[in-house]
Formats: sequence, structure tokens, C-alpha cells
Amino acid sequence: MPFSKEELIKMINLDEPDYQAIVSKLSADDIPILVELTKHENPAIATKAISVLGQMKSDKALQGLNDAVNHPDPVRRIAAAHSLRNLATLPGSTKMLEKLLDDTDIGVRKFALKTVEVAKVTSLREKVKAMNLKEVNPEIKALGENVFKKL
Amino acid sequence: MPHLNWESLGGIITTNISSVSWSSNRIDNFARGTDNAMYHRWWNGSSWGGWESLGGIITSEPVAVSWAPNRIDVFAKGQDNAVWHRWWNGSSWGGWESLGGIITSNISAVCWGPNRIDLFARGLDNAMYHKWWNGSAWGGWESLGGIITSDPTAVSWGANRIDVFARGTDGAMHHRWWNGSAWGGWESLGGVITSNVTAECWGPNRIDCFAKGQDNALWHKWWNGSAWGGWESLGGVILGDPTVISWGANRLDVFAKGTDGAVWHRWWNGSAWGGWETLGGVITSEISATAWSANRLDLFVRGTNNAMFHKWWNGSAWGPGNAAQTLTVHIKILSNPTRFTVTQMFDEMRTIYGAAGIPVVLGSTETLNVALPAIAPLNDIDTGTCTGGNPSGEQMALSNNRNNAAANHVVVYMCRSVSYNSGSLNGCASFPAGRPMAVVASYASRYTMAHEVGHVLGLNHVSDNNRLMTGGGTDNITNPPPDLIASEITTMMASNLTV
Repeated sequence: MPFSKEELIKMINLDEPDYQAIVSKLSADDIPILVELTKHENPAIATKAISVLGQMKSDKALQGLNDAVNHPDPVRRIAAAHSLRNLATLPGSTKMLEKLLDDTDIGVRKFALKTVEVAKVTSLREKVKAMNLKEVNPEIKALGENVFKKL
Repeated sequence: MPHLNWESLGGIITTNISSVSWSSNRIDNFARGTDNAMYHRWWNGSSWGGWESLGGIITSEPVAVSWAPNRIDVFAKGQDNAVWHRWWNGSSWGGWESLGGIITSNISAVCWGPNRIDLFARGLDNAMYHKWWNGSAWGGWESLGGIITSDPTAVSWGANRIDVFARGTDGAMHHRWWNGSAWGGWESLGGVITSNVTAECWGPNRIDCFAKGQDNALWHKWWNGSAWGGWESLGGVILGDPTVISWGANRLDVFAKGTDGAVWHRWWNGSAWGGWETLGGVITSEISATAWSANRLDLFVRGTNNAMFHKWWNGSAWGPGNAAQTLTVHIKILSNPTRFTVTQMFDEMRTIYGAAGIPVVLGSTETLNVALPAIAPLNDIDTGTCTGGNPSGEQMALSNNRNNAAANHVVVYMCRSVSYNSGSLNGCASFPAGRPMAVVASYASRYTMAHEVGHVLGLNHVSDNNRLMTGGGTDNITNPPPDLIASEITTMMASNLTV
């Protein structure tokens, strides 16, 4: 039986969530409400829901991140870029990551690059190379070059 | 929670403290030291003397009484399980003298008049034994029978009157009394008590007894001159023996250690019970109390470092005053928070810490320029594992921005987002050595700043949503403002960041 929305909010809206402990209590039945929570008006709840979805490691969870990837709030896109590191083996994740690597926001690009690095998404090697050519921030450019070398 | 500070009187003591006052503004404290000798520290009205060693090898807590100004008699069990005695005659210490006996409890001593002392203790047969000084010689030991399972507690409400209390094998409180010519009792006063009895007489023919009950609450039973009242529960959850003292007619002050290790206080003002109030501290002994005048109380306890600590009521307030230790926090803003303002977050921290006796000083506020290439990526900070003493490279880089902050100041960086290896965080408190800092996300709760700075000061998560350090999310605080408990305050005070 899935948790109620209120229960899930209380469960995830922590200052320093232990995501593995949270996910161990959840099932696939909780994904629809978690997806709903990624759109919550409170970004503290939305970002935690996005992070939890990443840890659920399922196609449904990945699909649930779609809105976050395209959300106008960069904080939610950052959470999505980070969350994808746990979903990188699933079909469709690469396309999301590719989009986030092209993001106008420096924080989103940084976390997308880190996800490519951590999840070793070799299919995005050329994308990272292309991104580096146009990256204006020297810190992110250096990060991108380092990621490229590792792929 | 005001007045949580205690004065350290140093020493390393290994027993409860016995405190006695033989005149106004005079206190003598006794306890055993690490060499098992008895030690003495005294207040002469203007300063503390001691610790002085009074020698001996004692195997119980000492007990001190005074039957006249500038007279002290101190008793303790020796290595031979006999009672040993030292006395101060106004100019020098006499003894040790052995008073014989073989006792199996702490000693209770009472003086019902000048040059009179009555001692009580449990014997090898678990009966209660009595020995007395009549002004010229020691009498006893006499057996007063019974089978007691606690230390005896003796009080006197008038000349040639003694009342003694102890727990029986049935867990009830039992009573014997000396009426001037004969012993009465044992009588059972019922109840089921799980501590020694503490008793006080605030006037002639009046006795108030207190003990811990089976439910760990404080229980009270009293003699009003004609009949026993009670047992009445005074609530609370206490550890160990309570302590009672009276500084005037119809006045009682009761102290006990709480589950948080702090001293807790209830008082009878003549018409109603006040409290519980916490007096803070983290204690490792029972509480010793003395009152050298009306509306004056002095408490002595052993702290976690085994030193003696002192707290006093001067008639209007508890001393020592609030801690002078302050915490200086600097705010560096990369992104303004979106749910609460920086001022709201800081003020919440100042309120919570201030109530704990730790004033928070705003050292400076600076807006960091996120247009700068080196700063921009740190606005969405990756804290890696976010574990203490293991800052990420990004935290190390951010910590370079410490304008105006001394090494013992905490810098709080307000970032747009905070993440760690597993996902999104409201904040993180890991920091490089010598650069105490926390990062707080723009979407954090109003208490996240105080919570993260609590981590910086050494506090860990707790499972209580009424407390600042809850691991259950400061957005879920149930009874705002959230609390800091005494042991947490002690930790914060011990931090080299509160100065």
C-alpha cells in the first residue's frame, strides 16, 4: 500500500535526508505521488522528491523526472541533473542529460557533467567535448575537460 | 531556558558532595578525592578556600553536620566498614577517630541541639543502627531493628526529637521516631519507592519526605503535626535520589537529576508547587543543597569532568548569570533564500541559542559576487559525502571566502542549492580544519541555519521533532521554537567556537 502524500512529505522533507534509508521503505506504488511532489510549490519538497525518484531506479521514476528536467526553476533542474546519475543505464536518460548539458544555467551544467562522470555515460563523450568548446566559465570548462578525459 | 550556567569549583571528586553551613554566608563542602581521602572546600563569605585534604581512606560519601557556629563534624565509612569521624572545633581539625561499628550504607547524621549528634546507618544484618554524641561521650551502637533496603534518612523538627526513614523490603517507606524518651515505630508509611528518602522539616512538628516512585516520578508524603498526608505525585522523570531543602517556614525546594542529566527544580511556596524548571548542567552525582539564610540556596554537584560545580539562588535569580560565551556568525550570501529571509533564519538561531545561554553575534554580512567565475559554480554546491571532517573540494574552495571572520567564527554560506552524493540537502556542516562553516540552501527551513551551526558546534541528530537537532526535518518541528537540551548546551559551550 503506497504512502499518502502527507506521509511522503514528512518522510522526505528533511534537512539532510538519508535517501537510501527512505527508498528502502518505498515501492513502485509510491512513484506517482513522488512525481506529483516534484512539482510541489515548496522547492525543499520538490528537490527531495526528485532525488528520491532517482534512487528508485525504474523507468517510471525516470519518466517522472521529465517535468523536472524541463522545469523553469533551475534548482529543480539541478536536482534532476544530479538524480540522473542513478538512472543513467535506463533508456531515455541520455536524452535528458544531453538537454541538461546544454542548459543555460551554470549549476545545471555542472551537475549534468558530474552525472556524466559518475555514471560513466560514454555515449555523451562527444557531447561533452562540444560543450567544452562553448563553455564560458573556466571552472566548468575545466570540469568538462576532466570529465571528457575520463570517458 | 535561562540560568543554565554553573560555576566550576574544580577538584576531581569520586562521591556525592556533603554541604553544610554553620553561619550566614558560610559553606563547607566535603567529598572523596581520587586517592580516597576526604577533601574540603569552603566559602568564607568572600572567597573559596581549598581544596584541602583531610586525609583518611573513606569508602562512603562523607556526611557533614554542624551543631554550632564554627563547628563541623564529618563522618564517613572507613576501609574497615566502621564509621570514622573528623571535627572542626573552630580553630583546628580533630580526628580521625573511629566510632566503630560495621555499616553497609551511607551515614545519616542529625543534630537536634547544641553539642548533640545522632548517627544512623544500616548494619550487617540490614537492621538500622544508631550512635549518638550527648555532649560528653558517644553512646551506642544500638540496633533499632527492621530490615532496611536503603540508606536511612534522619531529620529533627525540635529538641530531643528525631524521625528516621528508610525503605523496607516491601519497597514502602518505613519510619521510626524518638519522642524524647522512647523510640516509636517501625511504622509503614506505604508507597513503593525506588530511591533513598530525602526529608526536611520547615517548622516544629512538620516533616516532608520525598522519593522516586516506581514510575520514576517524584513522590511526596508529609506530616502536618497530626497526620500523614500523601503520597502525592509531583511528576517528572528523575534519576537517583531527590534532594530537599527549606530556607523558611512553609517553603520547600526539591531538586533531582532529570533524564537529560540536568538538575531540575520544584518548589513549594506555601500555597502551591512551582516547576519543574531546569537548572541545566550535566551532573554525575546527587545534588547537595544548603541554605545559609532565608531565600538563599546553594547547590553543589559533580560534573562530567568530575569537578565540583556550584549554582546559587540569591533571592531573585539563579547564579552564575547567563554564560558570557558568545558565538560569532558571519553570513556570506551567494543566493538569497526563497522561503524565509536571511534575517528570519538568523533571528531564529539567535533566539534558540540565546535561550540556551549562548548569545549569537552577527559578525558581518557580505554578498558574494556570483558573476565571478570562481564563485558562480559554488552557488549550487556539491558537498560530496557531507560528513564531518571530510569537506568536498567545492566546500574547500568556498571556505576561502572568509572576509572578516576569525578562525573561531562560523561562516554560513547561503547557496542556491546544496547537494551531496545521494541528492538534495537543505544544508551541510562539514568544513575544512580551521575554517568552521556551513552551507544553507535557498529552499531551507527557517531553522536550517541554526541546525547546521549546531552541527558545526558538535551536535548530532536526535529523534525528537521538538528539538533543533532533529533528524526528522526542521520543517517538521512540532513545538516551535525547537529546544536545545542541557547536554547539547554543554557540548556547545565546550566548543572552541563559543568564546
